[in-house]
Amino acid sequence: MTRPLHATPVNPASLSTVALAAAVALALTRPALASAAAGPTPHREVLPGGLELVVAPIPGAATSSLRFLVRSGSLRDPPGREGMAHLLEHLLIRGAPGTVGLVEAARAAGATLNAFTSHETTTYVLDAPTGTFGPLAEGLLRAVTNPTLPTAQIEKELQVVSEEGREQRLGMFAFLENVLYRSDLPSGTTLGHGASRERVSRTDLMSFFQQEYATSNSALVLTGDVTVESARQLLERAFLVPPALPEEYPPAAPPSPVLPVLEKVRAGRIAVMVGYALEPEDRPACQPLADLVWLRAYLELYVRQPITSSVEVGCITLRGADFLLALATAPSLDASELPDALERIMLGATTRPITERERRLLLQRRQRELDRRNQSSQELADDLADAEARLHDRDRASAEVVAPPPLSPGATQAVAKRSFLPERRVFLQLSPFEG
Amino acid sequence: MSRPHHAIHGALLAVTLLLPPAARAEPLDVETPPVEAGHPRIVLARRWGQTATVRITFSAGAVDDEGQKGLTRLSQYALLAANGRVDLESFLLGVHASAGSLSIETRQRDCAFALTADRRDFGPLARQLLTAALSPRLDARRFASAQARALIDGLQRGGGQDFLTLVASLVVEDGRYRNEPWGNRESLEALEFQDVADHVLDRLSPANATVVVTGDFDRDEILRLARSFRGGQARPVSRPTLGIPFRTSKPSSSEVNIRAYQVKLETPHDAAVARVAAALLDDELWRRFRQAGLAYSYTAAPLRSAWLDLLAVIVPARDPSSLPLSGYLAETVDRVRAGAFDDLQLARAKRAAQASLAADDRSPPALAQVLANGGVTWHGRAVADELLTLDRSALVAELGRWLAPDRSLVIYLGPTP
Repeated sequence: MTRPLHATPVNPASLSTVALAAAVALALTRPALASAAAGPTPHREVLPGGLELVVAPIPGAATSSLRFLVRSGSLRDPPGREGMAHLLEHLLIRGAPGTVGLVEAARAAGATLNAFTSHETTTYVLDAPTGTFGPLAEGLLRAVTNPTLPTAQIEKELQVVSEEGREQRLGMFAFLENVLYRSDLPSGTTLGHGASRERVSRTDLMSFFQQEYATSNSALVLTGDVTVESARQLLERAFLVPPALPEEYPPAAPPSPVLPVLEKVRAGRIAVMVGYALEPEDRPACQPLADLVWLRAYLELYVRQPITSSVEVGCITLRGADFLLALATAPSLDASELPDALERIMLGATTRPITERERRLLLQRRQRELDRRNQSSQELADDLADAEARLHDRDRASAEVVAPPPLSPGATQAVAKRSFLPERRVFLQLSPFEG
Repeated sequence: MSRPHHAIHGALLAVTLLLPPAARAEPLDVETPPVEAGHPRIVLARRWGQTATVRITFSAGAVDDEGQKGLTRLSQYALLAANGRVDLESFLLGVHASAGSLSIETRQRDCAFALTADRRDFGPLARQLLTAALSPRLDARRFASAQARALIDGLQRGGGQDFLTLVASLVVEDGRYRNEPWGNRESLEALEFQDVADHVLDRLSPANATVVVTGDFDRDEILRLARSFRGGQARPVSRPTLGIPFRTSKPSSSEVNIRAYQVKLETPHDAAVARVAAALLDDELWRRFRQAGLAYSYTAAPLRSAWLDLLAVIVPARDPSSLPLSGYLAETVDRVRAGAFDDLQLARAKRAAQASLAADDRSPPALAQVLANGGVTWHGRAVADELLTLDRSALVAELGRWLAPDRSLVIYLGPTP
């Protein structure tokens, strides 16, 4: 499947959220400010075969988790065969047809078995009750590292992907990515289109697998009731991709986004996204700033003077470029002041210093979130996998997951000077009356 | 060289089936302390962990709004935003600082507040919410603030719709079942403070409330607090009469095939049968739809509430030209009804049902929801025990009755109804 909402491996939980829609009226989610709570210390190493192994033990955890990340996605689809990376992901997780397979075993165990293809990465996901984790993890690793790909199965999976395409809706972040990198996106989604998928042969898929699923292009994250030793034994038994050298898969230089973005699009709802592309040195300040902007936007636009049904503020990385973005939705034109209000609050975070009350609230929230995350094998695995996906600075990204840096005095003003500039601005508006 | 996949996966399944059932390791204990008339019903399920959840459900919803659409929804907002018992800003910031969540839910026959917070902050936050909801002092001066919040919801079409709402709105003859749970601009603007005050006093009273608390909380403190609320007169919730069998088509931009069966889940045995039946249907859908390339996503689930229980199968897929999908879906259900599954499938389904029970038990918000929907006959040790002892003949006998065509509701949504 494709990851909903986000086009690249951005953990939705990294957005500070007030979702007031549907059954969830107020959903407040994870910040990632400075570290306050002690959590599991992840073990990270590059194995002799080239694979990166990350293990974060949570002794006694009821659930254990696996993320197998391949730093290759739909952008590696050959021209004319768009959708191939995603189709391969479908086929690998299915195992062999006509037998009691991995999916059935996972379902019987109450495990979650899934996979996501983005433009840049493919991620295989297993969250399982600890008692059943070992055999399922072994089965999944065998399936995704030693494909058989029977032709009959390929034909059926092509139909499944076609149905998936009918259910898929492009989210705001996927839309933004398409706008930012429009020059190199052949079809806009990771699914490709019917004709391009039909051209994909078994030979193409095997060739793609051999080229892209290289050990030096992959990472395995294990969290929960696991140890480094058990992880190594698991790999020995079940990881079947031959070793590779780092130079066999050199990372491509990240593309440059087309900035600034100013798009108004006709849609059945009203949504506004404002933000800025950050200079690399501003990344450490992004999440603290996002949390402060979120808190103020939440207070002003929902708690005190409700004009929005949801507001999200967060940091996302799209193809190596970092963005601080605020996204708000409203049910009617009553919210015509929403774009200006969001922009004002964002800019204000760099000019109006954080108050003692705000600092206290954000610190408490940060401690609670980290404590909870560190007890959750799923959330921890997602965060560590997201960090591993940041190809160009994954060392720093991994470190930030464990100990997010604090916001130093004066850092917000520096962000304003470097990054909050008209030429780095992002503005997207969806409305029934635009476009 | 590796072993062939099917051998590995067969062995894998054998290993997972040999392990002890997941539910056996879970606490599963649920406490229902006795309460006197006029007090809210109380359900407690204490578990060690990082968070706790309180869910306050009132047996009033859009059906009870009569001609004043959105009345229940607006009343809920008044309990938060126009209530002298709670400082909304302080409360919401407390929830935020706790990295918690607060939801306001309104359906046809019930409405609820659900708060999840870190265990270290839960006590004071739960006290604020319980006091606001069950001992309100409504303030007419702040009514406009509540109305503004309800309006934002009411302007979103289809707000508050869930599957039970959808089915009931189509199948029940009583026109009140077609009330939008979130109301609309005209109806919400027409409502006055006194309408809301009367509704709260009558329908959103402690006597019509159920308080479910799950997760890591101070049991004695919560129990003392919950027992301190009293007022109103309990109104029994009647079950609507469905005109079944029922078949309809409705226009929609995307195609969805739905088959639901009206059941009545009253005992732990019923709960066990429903959970295993859903797992068996899920298995068939995987094999006959997903594996066959006919569908991408699908759902088979028992839907439990105080007023309507359904066993539902939902397949969002189009009819391929060679196959009438609706008939194929009926045939798929009939296979389960006739017991056309082998012992391995049954073992897998029972295992999946136990795992689902265990997963609910580990998550305070999920546990609070299932307990609010069905109480101890729907989730708890007794259900786990029934799952262990449920045998094929008893299951097939129940499935024969539950999945009979005369209990079915067949709904097709699509561009060409």
